[in-house]
Amino acid sequence: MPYLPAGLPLPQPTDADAPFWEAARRHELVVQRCTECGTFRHSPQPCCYNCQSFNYEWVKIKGNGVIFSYTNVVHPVHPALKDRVPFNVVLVELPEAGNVRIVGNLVDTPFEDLYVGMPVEVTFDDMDEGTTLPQWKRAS
Amino acid sequence: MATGIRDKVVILGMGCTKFGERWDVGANQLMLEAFREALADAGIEKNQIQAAWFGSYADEVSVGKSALPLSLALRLSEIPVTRVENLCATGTEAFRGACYAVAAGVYDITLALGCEKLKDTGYGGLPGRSGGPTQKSQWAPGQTAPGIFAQLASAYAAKYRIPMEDLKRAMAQVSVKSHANGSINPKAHLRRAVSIEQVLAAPIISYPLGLYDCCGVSDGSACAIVTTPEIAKALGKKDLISVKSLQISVSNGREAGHNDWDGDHFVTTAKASKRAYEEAGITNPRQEVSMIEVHDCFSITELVTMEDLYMSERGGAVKDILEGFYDRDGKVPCQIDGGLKCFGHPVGASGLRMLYEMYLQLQGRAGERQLPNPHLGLTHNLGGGPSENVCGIAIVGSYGA
Repeated sequence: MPYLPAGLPLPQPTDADAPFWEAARRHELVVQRCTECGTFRHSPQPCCYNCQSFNYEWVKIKGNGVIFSYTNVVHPVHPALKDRVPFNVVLVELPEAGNVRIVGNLVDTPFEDLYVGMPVEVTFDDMDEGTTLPQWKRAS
Repeated sequence: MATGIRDKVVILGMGCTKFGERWDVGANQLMLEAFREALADAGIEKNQIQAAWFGSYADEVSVGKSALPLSLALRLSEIPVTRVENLCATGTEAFRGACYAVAAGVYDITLALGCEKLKDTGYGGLPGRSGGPTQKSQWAPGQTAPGIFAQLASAYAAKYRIPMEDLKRAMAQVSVKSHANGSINPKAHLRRAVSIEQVLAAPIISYPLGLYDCCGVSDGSACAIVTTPEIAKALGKKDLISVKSLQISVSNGREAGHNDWDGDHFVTTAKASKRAYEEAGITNPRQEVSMIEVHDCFSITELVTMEDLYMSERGGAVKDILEGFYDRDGKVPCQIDGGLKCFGHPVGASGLRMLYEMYLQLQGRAGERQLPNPHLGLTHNLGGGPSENVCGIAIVGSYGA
């Protein structure tokens, strides 16, 4: 069972981020890296903020991260979440990718046990036949 | 070689309406109200204004698109009018356009006017934005203004290891001070003083921000007429107030796209203020600047901005605020007119409203709020949220000083 319920609006890939979602569908985590200056960035954007280059590549990473911050959401902002609150949201720092940060949910740990600096690893929630969300679980 | 704006442009006249729930008038009348005051103050005829910049943000709900609303409302004589929009920093952007045109020698006298009529939307807060790169909803869904600024407070407390109750108390003092100032300003939207206990006991809007940590939205208009020092003198003006610096800094994605920003301050404000001090020839802002008006959309915004303006040390704003450094009788009074929190926030007018208070103070015309001997005032006008924003800074002061 995915961490988030069916009925939520799912990502609508754009030119800039479609490869990210395609990789997630294959249960792979990829991060954008500028091929001019080597700076990682996330969320996906067409242009590097550091050197303004439009040239980039997608780097596949293992998906080991560290919780940078987290919160507990109690207000159901969408009707599909009515019976799902409270749920956690985590901001994960990725040392494998220049320490960029990525937002997700920690799917296997009670909120009380979350802490900043907690090691986590990526897991994948298949939401429907077309969309997979990269999510997080306690590092094994 | 460019030499900046310092002392090239002076303010000839300014006007500002009462801010608030102005059900009694439309946007047209608000513009006219501010403009008439400025025109009388400048002592010129309307037809001496050669070009105008019009600032409004939410064109869909208040004044309408294009520069037409201003030209129509003031019945300008088919002069060039440009509409500008730069989120909540729109007012400063309009002022910048008018000043640059004079500094360039293209026009003798120009007008900058900002207006917004937000109460007509019928609900609280700001209307939703219309997409584009600042509205990446699929990466950050369900954002609200209090929600994203609340994260600034959490990040600030975490970074400097400040207990949340201490930060809450300092944020409360920010609002208590602004309410005290607003209570003696006849043009302010909210005119009641509040106590620190009331602020701390208020309902939470988005943790840790409570009701009094958030500014509302208002109806209102403010404007400035600017010219060169030579023309102002020829018009018989004395004790001129000149523009010392005008800076804008705009995010490029660095904050949201990487981890070298901890969510605890404004990257743009630090850059814009540094450039502004250089342009104005200020080396020690904490000692040299007499007074400031900053973009206190939320109490925490004002708190961290004190550090991005190099007024307080990094991590030191809490102490300065609780010691009264920014109170009206403190070393660098902040929000002397009540700020966004109490004077109000009609988005497109706010940057010009801030300048209006600086202008009154520098001329000794601020009534009950008058400071003893101000000579240099800074305004800070911010649009967007902590991770992606537009920061406008203006410094004004006595001409030649």
